[in-house]
Amino acid sequence: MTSNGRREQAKGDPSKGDLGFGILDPQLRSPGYWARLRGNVMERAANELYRRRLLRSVSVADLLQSWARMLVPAAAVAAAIGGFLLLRNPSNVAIDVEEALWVGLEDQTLADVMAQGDIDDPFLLIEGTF
Amino acid sequence: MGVTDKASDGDLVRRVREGDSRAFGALVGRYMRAAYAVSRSVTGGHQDAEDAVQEAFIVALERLEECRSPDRFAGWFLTIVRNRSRNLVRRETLRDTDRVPEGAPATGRTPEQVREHTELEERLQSALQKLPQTQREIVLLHDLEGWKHGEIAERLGLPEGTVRSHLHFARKALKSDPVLSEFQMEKGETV
Repeated sequence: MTSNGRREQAKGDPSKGDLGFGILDPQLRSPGYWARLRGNVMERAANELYRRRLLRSVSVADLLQSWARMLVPAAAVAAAIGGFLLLRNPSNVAIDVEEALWVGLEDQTLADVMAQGDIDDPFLLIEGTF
Repeated sequence: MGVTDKASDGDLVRRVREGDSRAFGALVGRYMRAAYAVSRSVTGGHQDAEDAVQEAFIVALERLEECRSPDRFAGWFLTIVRNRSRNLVRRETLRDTDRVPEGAPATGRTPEQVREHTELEERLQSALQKLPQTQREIVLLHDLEGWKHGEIAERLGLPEGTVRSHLHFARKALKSDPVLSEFQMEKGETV
């Protein structure tokens, strides 16, 4: 038996203990009530259902692709700006720390330097040289 | 009968999660009357029950991921209905507003029939309100919605024997309710 059939039986069978609660069915007062209620609920649910469909249509590949679409041009622009700045003013080229320490020094070992000088103490030599 | 009408609650829930409108429509069609019965048992009035049912469906849709057992959607959803209905009653009590008049009478009825209908409805509601909440709910799900004992038990998470027992005591109380029996005697009907 369908749920509608059972519903009707429940409402109209005093032998089965029906107490007349069928009268509380709003459809009795207002024909088409349930269809309208369902329509109202569907109308209110439309946005949420649309949001869910939209989420479902976005796959992981789409997500990565959308990131790539933003990241690749941004990285290219940053590289171009960096390159342009470097080429525009070569004197500003940065040198690393190790290079900075030996720039301007003659290529001699500490032993050679000490052998040339009068100072025996390497600490005094370093202090005097630098 | 559409494919969605035959589908299990679990299948429909899974499809609604992906935004399937037809599946959601099927769930609404399947449970709107039961939701109304449950809500009416809490709120006691038509308009509040209708509002709570609509609100409950929207809340359920928004929180569908929280329904951990889609095959037990009915029990989960009716809990939402019950809670929304209680919240509504609480809000109404706080606001202390006048009751919204019940729905407009159906066309084709004489004023006398409408008056009788309204009077019987009020008496039934008044008698119902004297029952404990669970009994009210079970009586309405059984007598208004037509659910069988087993279905009520499964969907409310109660043993079937308890449902039968609640129904038995509720009927007994309603049959002996003076307000209800007096009206039925006036109308020459048997309760």
